[in-house]
Amino acid sequence: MKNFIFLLLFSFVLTLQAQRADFKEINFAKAEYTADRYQGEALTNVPELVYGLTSQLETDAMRFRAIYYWVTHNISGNYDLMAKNVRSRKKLKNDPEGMYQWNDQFKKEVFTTLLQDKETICTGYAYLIKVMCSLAGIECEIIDGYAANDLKIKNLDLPNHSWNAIKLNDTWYLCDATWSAGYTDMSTYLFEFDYDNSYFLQEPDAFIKSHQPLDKKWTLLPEN
Amino acid sequence: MKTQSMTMQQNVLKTLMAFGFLMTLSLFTNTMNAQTTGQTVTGVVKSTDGVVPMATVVLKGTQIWTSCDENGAFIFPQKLKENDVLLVTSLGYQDAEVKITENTTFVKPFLEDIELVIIGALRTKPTDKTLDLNKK
Repeated sequence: MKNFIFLLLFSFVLTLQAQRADFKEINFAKAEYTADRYQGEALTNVPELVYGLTSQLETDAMRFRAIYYWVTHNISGNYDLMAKNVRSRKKLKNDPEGMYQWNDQFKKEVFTTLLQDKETICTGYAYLIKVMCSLAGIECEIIDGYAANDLKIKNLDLPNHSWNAIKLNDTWYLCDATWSAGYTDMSTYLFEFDYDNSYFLQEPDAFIKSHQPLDKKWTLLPEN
Repeated sequence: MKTQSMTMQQNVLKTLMAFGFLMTLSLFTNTMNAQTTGQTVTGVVKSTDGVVPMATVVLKGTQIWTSCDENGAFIFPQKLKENDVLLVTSLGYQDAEVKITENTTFVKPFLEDIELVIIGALRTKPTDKTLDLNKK
């Protein structure tokens, strides 16, 4: 009961600025431990994987933590796929039909690579997070937009990134599994796992510095 | 006195044995049930591009499942009965459900494509361990 009142109070104060600090009192260690137990698991049976990851955890926040932790520690970024897609999308910028066809064909390649090699690019991360969340009963959206490390976004005329919004305790939060997972070493073009927790439920006013959604409402900032 | 306690012991033993026998019997009939009712269901999962390899087929509401082979074919590991529902999922497709009827032995689940525009920017720098205080 005490917890409930506490939560109720906080849900009023923090509806405007949803952030990771909301879950400070939650111990994520159990969720991470569960994710570790499934380290290296294949993606051949996503429903069973999600069941294993989440069924022993008590709250949506913990369940989401286990999913996020597993994805960011098991799925690699694939530089070749990304480069190929960027090239084609630039070339087909003014050819909607060609773009559609390219996307249709490329989509298959992306999902085959994800399933067989556990490698992908950001839409693949965001999509996998969404599928796993929906299996765990957590509301989740894929957000498309512009992203850059120090947001010189003016030079980008096409959306270049996807990330997620997740609803926990009736509040939306933002996260970017692609950037949490690791980075591509540009001297070798190889992916290195390098978990970055700052993109997990990052505060909207920090998130906007590197991520601009196409749809302004997904900034989750009060003025939108 | 001694004989009485003996009979009591014997009685307990008898009850236990009867109970054990019943348990074994019920175990046996259960297995019999699982094996004799229903039918083996096989199938091939397809999409607009032909067969879908490696799709997952789950008996809805259970943890019983199987994976399709490279040609999209599967043999469900448990016999199915009328009104069972198979849930077919694969990354990149919408889920499909197939209802089993009395005579179903072969199913052809069809997975619709999802609408998804693929874009992607990968991080190219290691995390700055000195700057981010939030990191674990």
